[in-house]
Amino acid sequence: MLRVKTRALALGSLCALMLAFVACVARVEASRRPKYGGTLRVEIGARVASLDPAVAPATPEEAAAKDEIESLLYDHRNADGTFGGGTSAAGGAGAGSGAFRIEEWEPGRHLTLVANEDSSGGRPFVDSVDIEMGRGPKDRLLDLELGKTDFIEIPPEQARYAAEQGIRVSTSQPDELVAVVFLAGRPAAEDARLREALAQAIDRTAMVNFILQKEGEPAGGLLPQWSSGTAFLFSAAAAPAAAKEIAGQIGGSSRIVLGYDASDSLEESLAERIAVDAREAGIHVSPETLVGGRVPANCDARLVRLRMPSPRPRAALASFLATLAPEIDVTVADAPATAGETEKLAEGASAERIYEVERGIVNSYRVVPLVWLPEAYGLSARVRDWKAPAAGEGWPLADVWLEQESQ
Amino acid sequence: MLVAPNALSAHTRAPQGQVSLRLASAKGRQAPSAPPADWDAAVRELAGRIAAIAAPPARIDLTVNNLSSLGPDEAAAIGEQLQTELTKRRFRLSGAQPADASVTVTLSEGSDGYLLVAQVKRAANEKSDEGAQVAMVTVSKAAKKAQPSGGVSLEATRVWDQPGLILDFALPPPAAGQAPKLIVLERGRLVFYSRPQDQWQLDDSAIIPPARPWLRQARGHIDLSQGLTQGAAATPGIDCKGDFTNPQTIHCGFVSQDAQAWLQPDPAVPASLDLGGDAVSVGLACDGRPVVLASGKADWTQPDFVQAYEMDASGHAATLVGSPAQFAGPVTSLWATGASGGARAAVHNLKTGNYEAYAIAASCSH
Repeated sequence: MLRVKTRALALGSLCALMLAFVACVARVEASRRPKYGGTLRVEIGARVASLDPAVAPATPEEAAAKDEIESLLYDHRNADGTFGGGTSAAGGAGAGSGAFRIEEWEPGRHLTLVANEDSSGGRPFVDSVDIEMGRGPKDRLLDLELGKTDFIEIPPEQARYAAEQGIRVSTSQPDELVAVVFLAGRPAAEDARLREALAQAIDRTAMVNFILQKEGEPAGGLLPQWSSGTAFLFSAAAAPAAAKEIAGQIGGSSRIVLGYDASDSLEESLAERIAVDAREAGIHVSPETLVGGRVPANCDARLVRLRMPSPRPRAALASFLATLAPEIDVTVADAPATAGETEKLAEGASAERIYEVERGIVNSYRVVPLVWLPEAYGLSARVRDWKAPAAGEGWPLADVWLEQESQ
Repeated sequence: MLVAPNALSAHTRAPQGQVSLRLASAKGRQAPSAPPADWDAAVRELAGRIAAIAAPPARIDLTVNNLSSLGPDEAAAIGEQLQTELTKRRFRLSGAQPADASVTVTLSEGSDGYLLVAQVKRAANEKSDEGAQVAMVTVSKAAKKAQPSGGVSLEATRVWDQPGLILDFALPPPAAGQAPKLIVLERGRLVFYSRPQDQWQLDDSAIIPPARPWLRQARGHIDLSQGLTQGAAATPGIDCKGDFTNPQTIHCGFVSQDAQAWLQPDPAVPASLDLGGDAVSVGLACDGRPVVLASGKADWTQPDFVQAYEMDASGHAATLVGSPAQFAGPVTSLWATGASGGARAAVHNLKTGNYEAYAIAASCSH
């Protein structure tokens, strides 16, 4: 009798478990429509010191983070890249006219945003966004694994590792270009053969495979294939034999001082790789750190990271030219007149015209494309309806909602 | 301004989504600088550009590559058409004989549309540093044709698309001698179009007052079951009624959402079936089994579909029948039209970013 009762209890427990499982699945499947409520927890590495549009960020990382936060606070982005909206509270004029407004702000440490009920795009699904600043990549990943946060940015070179650790990773299309830019007026930079030799020596495929862990693409041109459709016309392959031959034609020793952002570990790795590849061709490249964006007088070239402001090839290329123009002397005879090239990129420029401008710059070797990087994000399981932003778009935190755990 | 949707970026090189649809009408006014709308014109233009570079008569070594999301059959057809156009311009494919020029044509794709790219290199320049000359033609993207399915056949016809959100839409049966009409419910207004000739034209609109708070996940419904002269349109908390042949008569008022029956699931579809996101009964029975259409269960960042089911006699079980109608984004609303087998769906195309209105027709195929 006791044995029968025990078996009946076991069967009953099993049935209860199965019913609970079915009910759980039904709740999950029934939760397709977004829910309102909850606090989205975000961790970023940068410390944003000021949300005042008039205050320039100290580092590119801070600038990128500030841009993302501003996209949440303002109603829209103007054509010149600045943000705009109706008059509202803290930050610049118009801050708080967007999907969120500021509730608490500790500069460089912590920011709490709350949903703007009057947002023209509709009230966000989450009630608030809590942003913790100054968290390093490893700490962010650990916090995500432990369930202490919902959304983090992941350096692209760590995305594969994060996914292998079971973290939910989302990556965008590759929309950030890393390139070597030769600085106008510097002795080594004015030698066209030296520029070409360096460009031919660089092994971009090895950069993607070993430094980026295959999260990214070798870049032969200034626009990615998914945007321009013409990137295949630019070779990204290394030509070490040709590089060595060209370098051999240069009298005297070939030396290039290559600057990189001291706070950017990826730039450091890429600069060191360039030095290794260049050495094979007989070119001596000395990586040198740049602090606070200041370029010392002995720097011949520097690494730059250019993020596409738009998925449209014309807008992206025009933005790159505008950014690089101060560093590429428009008066140098063999360089494309970037001001004139920008004019050729007027609204409605054909694909062929865009390609011609791009080809002209690449053939001058004043800008040497290296790799295309995606944006990588880590998400907790409860974040729903996340879609990686397209080039030029900010984090879509107003569109995500949180799956609430059952009570 | 009514414009055709822009061509899209291709994040992958997989074939285009299996959108089962047939273009029902012109898409509206296009921007003056739109590229050729079909491949024929683009191929002819490219052949002309190649002729300008390679100077026929000439033997050419032609290679066609496909980097786009076009399927192999489509790419092959374009390649054959290009050969025909080049032959018309007195080019000959070199075969075993040495070529005067090598021509590599690549079907590519960017965020602005497809690209036909020709790289032409004269044999005389093979040993020089002079690179290939490049010519390219941009081609806008177009929808593909419907593929009939087995079981219950679904045919989805795109009738409208626009950059702004579509909450619902209606295609009332046109009165005799009158132009077809289209009514689109947006967040904040009802818009009325007519098509006296080939394109939809804006006729009128009625403003819908905003509710507080504006819901990010907006919903809406147009009800013409009492006829166009007693039309109704609603968003959560707001009902608008009037003579839809004269939009100036439409009046809106705040109501309790509890009183809005359209916010509830279709009562003709038992909740226990749990078929998907939205499910509607379309007033069609195949072999005596009522047909229900339902959208998918994924969230709104994924491509979606509308699938047909046949309910059994008890109404508590349903069988999946036929192939689904696939869409390039989530189905944000799905309603029965009242006509047998008729439904309408609003879709957010994740590739273009536009919102699309589809008329769906279900029919028994067995």
